[in-house]
Amino acid sequence: MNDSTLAINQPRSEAAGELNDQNTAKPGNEEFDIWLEAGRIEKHYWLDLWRFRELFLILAWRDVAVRYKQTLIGVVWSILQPLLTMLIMSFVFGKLAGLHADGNVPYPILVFCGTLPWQFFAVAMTTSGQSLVTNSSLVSKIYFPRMIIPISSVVVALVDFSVSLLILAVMMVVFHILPTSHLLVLPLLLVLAFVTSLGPGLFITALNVRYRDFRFVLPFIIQFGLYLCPVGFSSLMIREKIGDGLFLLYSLNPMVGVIDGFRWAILGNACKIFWPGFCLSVGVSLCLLATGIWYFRKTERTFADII
Amino acid sequence: MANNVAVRIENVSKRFIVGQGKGRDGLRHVLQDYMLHPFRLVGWNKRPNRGNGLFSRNPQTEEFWALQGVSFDVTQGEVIGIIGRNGAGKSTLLKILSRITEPSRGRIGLKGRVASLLEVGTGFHPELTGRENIFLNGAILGMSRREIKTRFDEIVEFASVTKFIDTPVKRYSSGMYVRLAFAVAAHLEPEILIVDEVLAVGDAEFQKKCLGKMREVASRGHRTVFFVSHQLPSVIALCSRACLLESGRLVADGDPTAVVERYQKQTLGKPGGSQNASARPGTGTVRIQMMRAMADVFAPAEAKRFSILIHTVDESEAPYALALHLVDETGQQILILNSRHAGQVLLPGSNLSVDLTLRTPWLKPGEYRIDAFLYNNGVIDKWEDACRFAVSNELPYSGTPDDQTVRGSIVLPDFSLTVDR
Repeated sequence: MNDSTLAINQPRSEAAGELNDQNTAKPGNEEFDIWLEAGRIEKHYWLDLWRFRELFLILAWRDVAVRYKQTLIGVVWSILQPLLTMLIMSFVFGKLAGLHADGNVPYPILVFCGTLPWQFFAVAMTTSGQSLVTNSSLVSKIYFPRMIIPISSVVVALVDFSVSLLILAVMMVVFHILPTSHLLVLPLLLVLAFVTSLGPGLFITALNVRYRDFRFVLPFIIQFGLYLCPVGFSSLMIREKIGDGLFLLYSLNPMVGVIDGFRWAILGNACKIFWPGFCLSVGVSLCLLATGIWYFRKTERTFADII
Repeated sequence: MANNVAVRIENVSKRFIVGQGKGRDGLRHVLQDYMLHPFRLVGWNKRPNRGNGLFSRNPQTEEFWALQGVSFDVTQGEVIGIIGRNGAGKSTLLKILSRITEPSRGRIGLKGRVASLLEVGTGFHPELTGRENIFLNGAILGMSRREIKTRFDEIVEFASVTKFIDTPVKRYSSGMYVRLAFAVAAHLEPEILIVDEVLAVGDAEFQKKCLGKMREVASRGHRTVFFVSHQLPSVIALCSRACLLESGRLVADGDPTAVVERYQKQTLGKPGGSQNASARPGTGTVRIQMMRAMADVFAPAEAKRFSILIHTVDESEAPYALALHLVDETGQQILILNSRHAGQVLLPGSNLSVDLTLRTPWLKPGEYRIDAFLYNNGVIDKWEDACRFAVSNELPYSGTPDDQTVRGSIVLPDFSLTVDR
């Protein structure tokens, strides 16, 4: 059997030489590819993640396929949800509350630029937060690096995001917004949004395995966050109200940076971004990702026992 | 040290924490604990193997050792059966081998890739079609996309679902579902294969197919197989070696037939059942005082004699009958003898001495027990394991039947055969 059939569990004997150097010098170690023992740090975890990439793709495909197989309205809902949210928010914040947008940007599109990353974050967090428990049968029966599950569940959010991007394109035409060079940064911002949702997502899904309370905590956080984050209004307005210093505190919320970034990328120079705040948000995202990965890896070996 | 050891299990133990459901393990209680003992947060690092997470353990939980100090080596190409009662630790051992969970102590060395069949149809999604599920399940079990494509037709054919391959699996009958799931799993080709009682599902014809496939896999020679099953005949048929686990310890390791027999003796328990009549079930108006076989060992074709003494406690009981169930060493009931069929009616009043002669069917070599019942409208006395006896190897045939003929029969025939030229 050649190596390409190796989408599976262990490194082959060819790799054993490299592996065994790292083993302690116990007699009889030479022959075995891998030793399973308590507390052993998986040096090859990240290599395994790459080896299991086919499984990752197929799980992601499965989540998307199942979602759209179940109902016709499912596809339409991906269009309706961001559209409706934008309409309601424009009305409530724009007309009723009388908030203004930066520059000459029409309020609906300001809101939509905020809804775009927010929806991604909300769906990604919710699905990844529940992912391990939903896939408990896989976790308890098969070996694979468990991180594949929360990561692959985020792909569903990506599909919704792409649909929303199309709507955005239509809206930009309607409101005569010309794309600027800032738009090129959009993919990077998507990565940032991904990182921002993955960090807490990993943390919560690991916690959820042990304490099922988090199933209820998560929707609450999302709902609360919708008003806390500058989705329905612009962060410039917040900055005007509370001053730069306090705004830095506000920027500890990683989604502030993401949303501001999106607005800056899409609306070009009409939207002024506060760079210190943005950097702080990005920093917090990365910290959350590191913590999430650390905690996930730490508890991973007990998942099968307690799920 | 043998060079072709595929799996080395060294002093492996596995501990589980029980008592999770006592209600003190929720987030609320953990937070309460932290309010009261804020320094635990700092101290958790000091307990290396005890933490299941960020929060410290509830002091009210207990430990349960599912495996204790299990050690053995498996050479490449061996098909090893793991047997034992429920709760003996078999599935835990398999889970550790499959890398689903870690050993608490000890270690396991593996050479080659491992694929596990702990359950068929893992990952099957009811909304997806059979075709899609094959790819999904195959990927989950560790096959690459290319491997699955190559074997796709074989898989569909093995499962006999060619017509339905493009309908959603939720429409499949349970038989089709199981067949498809097993078909995917049967086409795995790892160096080390772990199978856990998957053959317990499906109808008889399918089980035969699965056994055939397992046999094929086992006989190719270079594949190491761990096989856990309660179907002892399959273990004896497929395995070259067997291990018996009891309460997490390895108590027997060697020839499958010998290990299975030892397992049977363990489950059959102490011979004699409840000699104490009043402890036995039944109304007790009449009790069997004694039952014994006239010999400890009979030849298969020999007439087997038994003697039974029955004692009346309550004379007002109505006439009753005696029923004897003959059970072999695997727990299979072979036949039932009834005094009524011999034209006898048993009357209460005086103590009765019953002589029983069993001529046919001829019994296979092995150990047997008899469960005895006295009844009329309800059960008057029930004595399980009232009597034990063995049947020797002296087969009443001119040629020597091979092992398979005897093994495949439940009883031995008394027959004649003529050939006309």
